[in-house]
Amino acid sequence: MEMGIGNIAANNGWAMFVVGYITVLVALAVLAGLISLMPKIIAIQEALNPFGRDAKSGHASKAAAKAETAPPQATLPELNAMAIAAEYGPFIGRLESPFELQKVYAIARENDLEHPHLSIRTLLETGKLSQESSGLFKWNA
Amino acid sequence: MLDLVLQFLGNTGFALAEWRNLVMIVIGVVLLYLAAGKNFEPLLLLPIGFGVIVGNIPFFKGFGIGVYESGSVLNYLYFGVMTGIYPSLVFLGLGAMTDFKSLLGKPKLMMLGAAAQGGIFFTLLGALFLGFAPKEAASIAIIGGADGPTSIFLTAKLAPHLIGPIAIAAYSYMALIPIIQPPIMRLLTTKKERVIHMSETREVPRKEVLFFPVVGVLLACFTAPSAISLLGPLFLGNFLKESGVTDRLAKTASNAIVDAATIFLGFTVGCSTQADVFLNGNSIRIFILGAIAFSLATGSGIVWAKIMNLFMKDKINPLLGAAGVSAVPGSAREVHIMGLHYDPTNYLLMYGMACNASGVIGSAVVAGILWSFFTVV
Repeated sequence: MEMGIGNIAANNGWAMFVVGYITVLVALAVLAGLISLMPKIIAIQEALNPFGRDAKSGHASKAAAKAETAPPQATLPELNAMAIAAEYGPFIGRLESPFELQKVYAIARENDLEHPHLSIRTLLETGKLSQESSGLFKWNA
Repeated sequence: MLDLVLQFLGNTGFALAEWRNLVMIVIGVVLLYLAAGKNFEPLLLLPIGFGVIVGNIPFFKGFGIGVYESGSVLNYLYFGVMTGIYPSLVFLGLGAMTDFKSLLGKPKLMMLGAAAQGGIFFTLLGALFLGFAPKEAASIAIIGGADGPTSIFLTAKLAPHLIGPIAIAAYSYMALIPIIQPPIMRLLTTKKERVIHMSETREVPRKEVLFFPVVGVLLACFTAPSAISLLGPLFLGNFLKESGVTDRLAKTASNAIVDAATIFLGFTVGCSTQADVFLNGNSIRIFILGAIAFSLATGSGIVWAKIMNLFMKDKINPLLGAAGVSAVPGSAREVHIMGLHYDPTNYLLMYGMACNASGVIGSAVVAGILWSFFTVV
């Protein structure tokens, strides 16, 4: 193994240095530029889509928006959302917020509450349960 | 019967051991001590250290036992290293654990992650100067990215015979961040620069958080398609996390998958350091070049931050340049600690994590670029 500056030129080292370093700098600079432009791109996208302008992303927010504009629609015909909220409220209220929906489901099973899946869905769609962060929910009493 | 006993004894590790095995076993014990006793990168050094011990237990060659022997269990496990499967899985988990919001809130910090990759290219020159073959030089240089899985991934593609020393060097230097980086940070910055407070980052809306993995994977992989196997899983993992609709998958990626991949990656890389292939002059040169690479990467980031400050009104604390290497979260933590040391009200952790995140992307892009240099037809 012989040392020498000639090894660098002989193996295209200078070219790899310049091309490689400049490429990664430019690539991440472009990515940074695109990130900087994102708020503007999103503003344009929302301007072109007036129906989605006020709707916040996420299922819970959509549900909340729906709840604001339309009367609560019970998912179970024989039950109404108010009754479900009254039944589930005391139990969910004891949970430390924010919580995972699994905990609500577990409470429903432990306390023999009827139709846990459909009831939780109803609570979500009527905005009684809303998403606070990814995968975590809060109870809107 | 005596013949049988003698034959058995002749095949035991005690009879087959030579000094090199013992040296490597001592190195393995030192790694275990650093991991378990000193809490230095335990998630990585512990499986590697144990692998070093297991890989250096002497055995009769040809019975399908060792990591390099075709058909052995260890060889099958090592397949994940040689093909780059484990690094990809680690990147999937890394993506599911990474919060890019701080980077999205201050995109100019991404340039520090790019600049720190300079350490890789300077070391490439150094390794070529020392007489390493180009593919070996590129594999050694990637240690400067301070990204273990990326180093292993590229080395498996370009110089698989060097995986052992390169992986050990990469992970050792990541563990030694608190020793390597602070002197360089102090050397290259003034006290006045160290107390620069960063401006507040803007709040990042959810749509941007969702756009980023898609934009990022497209741009980075179009630039360096060879990095698809690293950046594809990285951004997928992040999208799983941020979408909010695949919590189960995100949790699996960031727990079970990354943990399993880390165990097998560390253990088999450790096993690959068999004394007869590890203990040679090349390994020593690799360790020296690795330290240089890591130091140059740290310095490149800091110098770049100082250059940016010449042109920008909103100044960057140059210490953050040291977090441009992708050693998550060690280098960000080191920057934060030094910032607090000089000004107890200066919290740099969040900004350091942003630089770390861009360093991860940057080093994966560089790995793709280097690999592509040697696959040009």
